[in-house]
Amino acid sequence: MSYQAIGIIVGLILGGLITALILKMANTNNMVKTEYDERQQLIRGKAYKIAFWTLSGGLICVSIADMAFPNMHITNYIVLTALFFVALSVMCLYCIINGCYWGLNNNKKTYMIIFWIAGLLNLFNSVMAIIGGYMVVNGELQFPFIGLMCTLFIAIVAGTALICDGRDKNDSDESED
Amino acid sequence: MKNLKLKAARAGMDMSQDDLAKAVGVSRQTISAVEKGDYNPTINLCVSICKVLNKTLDELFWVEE
Repeated sequence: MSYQAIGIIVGLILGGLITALILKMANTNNMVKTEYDERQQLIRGKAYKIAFWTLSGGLICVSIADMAFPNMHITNYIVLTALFFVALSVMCLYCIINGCYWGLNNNKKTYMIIFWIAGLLNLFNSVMAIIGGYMVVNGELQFPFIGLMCTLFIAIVAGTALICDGRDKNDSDESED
Repeated sequence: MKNLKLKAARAGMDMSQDDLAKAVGVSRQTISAVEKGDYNPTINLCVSICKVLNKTLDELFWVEE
């Protein structure tokens, strides 16, 4: 096993632990799991279904493209991670648009701070990779590109959440009907 | 179909959507969706809402032809 693979595995484990700790602090009842009401659970179920079919469709397309163009090495980890982010974005956007973006025990302010920190950290890594010249090597995208995809994903999710938050404020008691 | 009975009962108790949502343990958007008729709540949620608003299921959720 290469040092890079070991680094990724250790990083993922540490990342998981840190994420669990942050989620515990960000939720009002100090629980890692976010609680949703019955309508939100229904929407999340539909969102998972749509994301599943998006990912499946994407994988089929990539497989066909890989067979059609064997010299292009399409099926690499960057493309597969990009597909994952596309499916994740579809799921998140469906939830956000249908008013299911905050769980019952989420502290909105803390979550927005986490979004900002995560987005800026990923952006910093991506910018450093571009400046250092190791984002693209021999015409192929390298591992730091995943950080750029993560930044884009966070920006899309946070932006849509802000827009929908504004929409829902207009939908409050006073301005209804 | 909009649930105007629920909206009237909530307003009668001087509660906002957020107050009612917190009292029954759901999100404000869910109460809004029930009032607008965009979401059909489960019987458990209907009963919880009725208890908070001191109404019967018939008074709030029975649809008259």
